[in-house]
Amino acid sequence: MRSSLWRDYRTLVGQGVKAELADLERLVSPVLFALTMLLMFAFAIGDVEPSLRLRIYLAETFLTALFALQISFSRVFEPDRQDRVFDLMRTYPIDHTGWFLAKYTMVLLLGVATLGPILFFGAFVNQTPSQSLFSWLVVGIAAMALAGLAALGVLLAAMTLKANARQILYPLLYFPLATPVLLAAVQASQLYLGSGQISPDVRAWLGLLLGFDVIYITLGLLLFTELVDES
Amino acid sequence: MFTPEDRRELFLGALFLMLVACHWFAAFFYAPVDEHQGEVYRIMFLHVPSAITAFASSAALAVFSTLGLKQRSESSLALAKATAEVGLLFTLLTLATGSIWGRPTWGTWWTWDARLTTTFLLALLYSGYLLLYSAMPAGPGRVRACAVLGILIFADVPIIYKSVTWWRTLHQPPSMLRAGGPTMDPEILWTLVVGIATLCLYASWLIRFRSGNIRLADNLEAASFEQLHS
Amino acid sequence: MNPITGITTDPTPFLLLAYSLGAVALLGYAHWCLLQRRKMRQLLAAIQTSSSPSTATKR
Repeated sequence: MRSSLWRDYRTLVGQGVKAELADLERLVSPVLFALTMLLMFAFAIGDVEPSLRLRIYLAETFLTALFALQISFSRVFEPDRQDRVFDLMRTYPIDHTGWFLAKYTMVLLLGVATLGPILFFGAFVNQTPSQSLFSWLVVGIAAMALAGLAALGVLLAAMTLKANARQILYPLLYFPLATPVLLAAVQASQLYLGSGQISPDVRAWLGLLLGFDVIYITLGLLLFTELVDES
Repeated sequence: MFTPEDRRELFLGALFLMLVACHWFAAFFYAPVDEHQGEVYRIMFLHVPSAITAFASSAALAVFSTLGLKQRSESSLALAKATAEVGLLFTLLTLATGSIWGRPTWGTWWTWDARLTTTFLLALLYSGYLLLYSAMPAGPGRVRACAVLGILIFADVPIIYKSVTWWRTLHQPPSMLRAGGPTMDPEILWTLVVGIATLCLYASWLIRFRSGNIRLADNLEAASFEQLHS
Repeated sequence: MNPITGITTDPTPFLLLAYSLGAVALLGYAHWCLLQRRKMRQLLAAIQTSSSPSTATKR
């Protein structure tokens, strides 16, 4: 029976959402981890001069987001590890592009569920009477960062599924590859929040983020099929 | 205990090593003294070729990884693994020589200069590749996973470089490849270009020799397994 | 004199350190590969000798 991309995608996304909702720990634990991290950063950094507060807020928030997202991403294939579902699915006549897009969608949904509280809580605990740190542009930058990181996350999760010491190997591969995203997100946000306008420098950093997204989503689509191909 | 083929390879390696040695001689006795940095600038003739070799290795890694994906062969993986090892060697050499050069030039052993930072990240990526290789059981799964990572590393290097360069820089602006021609003394430039060529040649030989060892190790494992069960 | 730091430094120790490290890296890795190759050739030869027909007959 010939499988269609859209049908496989819909089925796998539906199945993924059901699996996540059945085990809410997988959704809640990265958020709790992130909130704990923000607290730890606050304790370690302590009181800072108002001039440094913006930089600290952005560094804390985006670092915490990166750590928490890494946890979510690395576990995206966990439900498929049970009962060798992943190996069986590789042999089924499902569209591998649809499979990647389904996992990518799941990771985006998990990412949004994780990032939202982090951005809100980060701005909440770092605000001052004279400065509100919440900005929709920063939310947009975070969303752009998520788009590329999600593709990278799915690829790395599929690659390391059968590896030993996966828990340490995944972050060791993920963080260096994600460095441009961290730099671009923090720099673009800092420049925008500092000046209140979208300067050419902000645009340049956003361009880099967009480039990263395009490259990694394209690579994800191309390489995932090679990774799971049975032949 | 070497075969005639091994001896030919070793002879080639010795020849390339001699070329490197001749280049180092030229770096000290042919290239003139730099008017700003004095004699210490001669570290450049080791540092820059190492850096270029390290980054060229990432391109070679991508090529071997792509071949590995297409052919699904262990020999492509052996070449890729050897490339990652040699790449790591040259990134570490770049970082060490950059640090040593930085001390008398910038007054500090380390600074978050764009190129050094990118090299540091590249060293982490090569290390990650080697960790993935050793963490996975041998077989087509490992060939595929390592091949994908090799391609990802190569794709990320220019993005990392661009982002870190925009982030901060203390390094000289690129003086070799620049519109209007290089700003270097021709003797210094040619010594540098020869250095890059000789080191890349030697690195290619190292990759070839090391990948031969990796394949030999696989053959050895197969032979001892066969003997055990015969 | 260093134009940035204003300090005059003897370049010799830095040059020595850098190029020594370079020599150790380039020669050391090649030497390690060489030793590996020799060891594996010896082991392969030993396996082939012990599993050759003449050895089997002797047993």
